Amino acid sequence: MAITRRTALKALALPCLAGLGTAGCASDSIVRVAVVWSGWELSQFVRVMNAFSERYGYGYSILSMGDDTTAFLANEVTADAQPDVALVPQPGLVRSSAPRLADVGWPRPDAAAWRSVLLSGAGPGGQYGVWFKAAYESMVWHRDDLPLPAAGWDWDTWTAWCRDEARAGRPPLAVGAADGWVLAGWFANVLLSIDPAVYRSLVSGYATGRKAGTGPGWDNGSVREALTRLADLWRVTGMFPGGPERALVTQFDESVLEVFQYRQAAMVVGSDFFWPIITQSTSFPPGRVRWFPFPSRPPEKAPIVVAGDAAVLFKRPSESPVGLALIDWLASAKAARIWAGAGGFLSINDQVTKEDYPYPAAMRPADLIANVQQGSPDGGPATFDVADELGGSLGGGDGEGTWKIFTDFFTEVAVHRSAVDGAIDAVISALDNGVSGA
Amino acid sequence: MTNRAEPIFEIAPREAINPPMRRHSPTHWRAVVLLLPALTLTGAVLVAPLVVTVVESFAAGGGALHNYEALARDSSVRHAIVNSLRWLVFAPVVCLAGLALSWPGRRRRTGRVVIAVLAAPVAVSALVTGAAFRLLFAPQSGTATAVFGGVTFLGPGWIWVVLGLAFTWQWLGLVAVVFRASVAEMPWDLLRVARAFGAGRLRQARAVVLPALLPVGALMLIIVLVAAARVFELVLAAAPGAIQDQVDVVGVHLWRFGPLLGTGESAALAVVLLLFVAIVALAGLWGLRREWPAGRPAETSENLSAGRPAETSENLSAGRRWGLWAFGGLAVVLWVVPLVVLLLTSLHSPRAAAAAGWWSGGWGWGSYQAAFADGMLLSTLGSTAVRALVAAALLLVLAVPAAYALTWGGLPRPVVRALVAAATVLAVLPPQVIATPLGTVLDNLQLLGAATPLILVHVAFGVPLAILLLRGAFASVSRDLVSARQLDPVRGSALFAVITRCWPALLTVAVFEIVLVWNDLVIGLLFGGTEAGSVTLVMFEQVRQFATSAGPLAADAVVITLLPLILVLATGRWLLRGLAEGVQR
Repeated sequence: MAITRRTALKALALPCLAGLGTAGCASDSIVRVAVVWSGWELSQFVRVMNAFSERYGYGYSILSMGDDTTAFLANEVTADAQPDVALVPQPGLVRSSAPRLADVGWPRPDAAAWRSVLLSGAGPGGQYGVWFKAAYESMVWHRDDLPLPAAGWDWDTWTAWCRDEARAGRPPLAVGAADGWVLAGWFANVLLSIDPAVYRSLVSGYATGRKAGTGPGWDNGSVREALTRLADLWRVTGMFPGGPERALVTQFDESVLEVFQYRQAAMVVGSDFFWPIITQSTSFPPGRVRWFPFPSRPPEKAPIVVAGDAAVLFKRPSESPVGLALIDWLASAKAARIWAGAGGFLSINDQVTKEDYPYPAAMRPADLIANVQQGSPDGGPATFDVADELGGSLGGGDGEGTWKIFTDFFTEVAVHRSAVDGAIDAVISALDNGVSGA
Repeated sequence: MTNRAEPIFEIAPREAINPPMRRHSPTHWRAVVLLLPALTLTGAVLVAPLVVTVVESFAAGGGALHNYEALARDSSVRHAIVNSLRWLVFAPVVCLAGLALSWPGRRRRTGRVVIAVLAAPVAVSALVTGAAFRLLFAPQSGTATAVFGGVTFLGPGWIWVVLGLAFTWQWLGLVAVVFRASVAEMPWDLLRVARAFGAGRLRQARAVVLPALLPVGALMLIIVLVAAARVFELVLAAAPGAIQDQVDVVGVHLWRFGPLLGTGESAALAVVLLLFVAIVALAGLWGLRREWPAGRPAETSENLSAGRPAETSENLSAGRRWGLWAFGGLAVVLWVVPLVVLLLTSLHSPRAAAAAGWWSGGWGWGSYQAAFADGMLLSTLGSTAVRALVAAALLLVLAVPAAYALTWGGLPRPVVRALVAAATVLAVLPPQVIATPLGTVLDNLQLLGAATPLILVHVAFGVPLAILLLRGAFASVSRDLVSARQLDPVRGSALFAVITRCWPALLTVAVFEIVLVWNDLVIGLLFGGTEAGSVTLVMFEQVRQFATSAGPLAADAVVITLLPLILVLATGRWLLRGLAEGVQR
């Protein structure tokens, strides 16, 4: 139902809510912002907006786009529902929506990898957005009592250790397989370590101008290799606490609890935004939280999978100073510091330094910042998460697109213990049949 | 006389016993005028989009059945249809279980507490029910998991048990309570006579018990079947994301994959869903038309809600009496568990609720503070309450004249029958069926997501059921009185006379509408949004991170459930009476 999604997206303003800092509705001094966040993240963004309100004297209202930004940006929406600024997590969508967006210029000289993904390829080149929030999704989180090898882990030593632990009855990995994007994130990390070029051509299709149904298919050696690695690890008996069946009903936040609260698993693969879950929902001392980069097999480079929310400004018949002011504010270090201080937020603005984050030294905040600013393992444009890059029927959502494809894969190889080759064929065929696009 | 208990629920087409009213043709246009507002609203909001959906299911794409063939080839659609059929098969099972539950101690008075507790889940939204059962069966901190350790309840296979239990919890109590009220109404004298004449148990059941229970049984079956066909929130709230695909049903599939299916195919799937509920509802309507017993003394209805006090002379052994007490007690305990777990979870700090089950420490009001922290819950509580009240008032304004016109308007019998049949189908219409065309129209009018049109959509969905309920009550008013007022309006309008004698029915309709609007997630999700502000949407947002949101989520659920629960418990006597009684005419 096109409507259901659009609706959820279109007009979800919080009109003039008390406490949200709105200064009256239906006025030119109000800026309307569309975001995808909810809950704690939304409350952090509200803090950022309150500071904007105080600083610039403008009011604001926040619209929640829910999960489906695509319909929101791809469709012409009524003037009433049109936001001034939207925070969009899909870079491809920003590029394809360029005709409806205002060129905001690039306020800072930093993070070239991030800048290039927002450049409009066709037509008059312009800068159609600035990055507000970034996320680094190639982390393996663990407690400080985990024995680490001196040389660090590569894929083989890491998986060998995991197997030994599993065999010994100590489940090494927690995985929030109930959330399809967690599994898609695993795939992104492994494929990106094996073959960044294939990752770029298949996942970041926009970067090469590939459109849906054209270019190389998913059936190639690197994709098969990535899926084989995943299957070999996931199907090991005793790998996950409670077995793969329980992993299927465990959401990502609960997988964090399994490591840091219940201590049922040693590690969890995830993103920098796991931090607030650890500090808010577990009794584990933050000073004893550790992480290492997602392991790869030398000479492969460590993968850097990122996500981010770009602030875009919609074109108006008459330029709105409020919208531009907000874009400037969201790109500023001052705005970033407000949320960065609470954790679960990374900035690519190099004026935001490690002191601005809540992370203790053991969390190696400098590495977090360096990795997220680098944005990709090979110096090219930032390599985004699978579900954020692939739109259309391959986009994300419970039971949908890539989320469902990798959930099915996990179920087949880990729960049903089906033959790996057949399960891989099913993934490739599902990805090939999917319609990618914004 | 005025306070006589009127039957306030009647789905059966009422057939006038007195001479045809054709002579009063002037009343026809008056009836049409009374019907017009309700017809206009339902026509515009429900019927027109419905027609568009049906037409598009055949017209969009190539070939008349093209879309249906495409659906049949889509394995995920087939899967969803099969699952929906499973729910439809499950509904009669729940009804039979309700009958069985109502039987022990059938001739004894049923305690008010037992009735209240068993029927209370009807007031609880399906979203809250789903969340409560997910909480009960959660892998780490679930109460049931702690008791029956080692089972992944929310996983493949077991999830059906959880969903089935949640559905059972929601409906079984109501079925049992209503059955019990009608068992108490059974003609026990007749049964005694049959026994005296040597009729065997089978014969007794066939000749007396079954006919006595059939009307109420049919009504209960419709209610539960329709709930089964409209399962939606339960899947989204109780099943973790990766499992939702396994328990996909047509309503969820349509909502989720509509855009990908395309206009024609999603319209075809909507028609399939419509067929499910329409067949069920019309079959029930047919079943209800069989009337029995013909003339029932009016005074028996006085004692309905409290069971059947006249039969206490029957001597029960102390053991049996204790058995009944234990049975009632066990039912009460089992029935309060989900709500108690919600309440106890909400009384923990968010951190404690996320980290362990409610039986561990960490008590406090933190979860309520967190639930109200961003201001969303508070503001939507207000807007939802306003919407529910306005919708209920508007509904009465539209439905009361319409129901009066259909009862006493002197319209030709076939017209009344057709309208009642149409109302029955519309009363059970799942909102997903008309979401696309209605949404498009609202969109073009720039009204999608706004608060006022949302109220109208709610009212339109409420009108058919309200008319059915009110008709039953209005028909019980004395024919002489109505005719006298109709012929001589100087003594007061007939409509007014009917209304003053049927205020419990009006109250029931208002309560139903308030509870339905308050608990609604589907209509808000399809046509509203947070701008319109709905409490269930606020809670729905929290489901995304279920484990670490458990505390605030439970607090949301408790806050959301309070109002409908209090309303239903306060007015339960009238609701129950209407459900158990009105159908037997």
